[in-house]
Amino acid sequence: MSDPSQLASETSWADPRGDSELVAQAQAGCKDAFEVLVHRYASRVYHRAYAMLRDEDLAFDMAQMAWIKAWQRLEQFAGQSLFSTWMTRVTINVCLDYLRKSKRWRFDQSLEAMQEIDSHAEGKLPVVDVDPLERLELEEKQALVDQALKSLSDEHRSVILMHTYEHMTYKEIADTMECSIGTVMSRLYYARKRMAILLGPLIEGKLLEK
Amino acid sequence: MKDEIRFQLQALMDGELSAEDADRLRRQLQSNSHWQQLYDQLAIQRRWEQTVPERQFRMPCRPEFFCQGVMDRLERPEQATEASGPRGSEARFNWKRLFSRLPYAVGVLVALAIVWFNRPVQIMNPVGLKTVSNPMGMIQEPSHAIESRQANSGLISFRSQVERVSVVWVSPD
Repeated sequence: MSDPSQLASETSWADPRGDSELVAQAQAGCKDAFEVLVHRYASRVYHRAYAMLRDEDLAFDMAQMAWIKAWQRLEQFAGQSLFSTWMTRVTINVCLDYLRKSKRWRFDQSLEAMQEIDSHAEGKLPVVDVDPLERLELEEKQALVDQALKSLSDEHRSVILMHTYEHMTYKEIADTMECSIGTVMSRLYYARKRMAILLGPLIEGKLLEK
Repeated sequence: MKDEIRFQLQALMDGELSAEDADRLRRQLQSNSHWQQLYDQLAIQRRWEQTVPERQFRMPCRPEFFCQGVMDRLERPEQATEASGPRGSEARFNWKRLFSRLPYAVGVLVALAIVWFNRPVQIMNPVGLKTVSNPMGMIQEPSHAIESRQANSGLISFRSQVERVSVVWVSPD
């Protein structure tokens, strides 16, 4: 579902140089090479920031911040992963840093407290349309998943995004979120449980055990 | 069912357990229908997660504008430095910023105090004519002025523009 205007914009910035070449030049101080990378992955970075923060202005600001952080830490990129993957991780870190410093993040949550929050929140969750999954078009399904994700707490949404869409392991998520693997497992479980409740009728009518 | 078991089953489904732990848990699963049921439910949800791709969010402006903003901030070191302390730092108390702004705050307080103590108040003099003064005791321009004076008869008339009255003063002499 690429926006044609953005796609045109990105292709107009098409550069024959590969990411690794551009990164090497940028690491040597070439801002022009870095600018090409910014153009190439601007949309992806903004997407991840918005998916985590759910605020257009904030996501825009944090996405720009992520690129500045990337420039400042570019020498740390050793090429062990794709640049796009590394850049996404930088974006996630910037967003988590924001959430951590802001009042939106509750770091002192114990597992029990999270369970309690879950049980209280269940009664307040929005009702999702009950049309069968098979009849829904892809965009509709995505919108429903997105609606469910949006209703999660920041930490639950973050852990789902990192695990499901960024394919990060428990250890990687724990390192990124600066918490234990046990906490990651708990957050992931309860985030999934919440998602199952929200999307229950769509997931073949089968809810996780209550 | 304990949370620990739930999390272990989830880890098994996500491929996060060691081979040894995974084998052990699978054996336990076969003999416990309740665990097996939860595992099946988790697996259904996981398949569903993998089936529906993530919704894509588009930038609210053209990427050129975004990129220009990034490059501008990189060109100006002070903005890049601000960037290293993102909006997230709003939540953190910034003592340095507070102390840098303290002189301005003191100045504003002094100015407010001066305005407050110089506010006009009206006090009555012994003969009942109002005199404009302020709490610091500085007499200000009177709101009444001598309208006429007749030295031979000892009559003095005052007119107050504020009170819109005229007072005729007859000297006892």
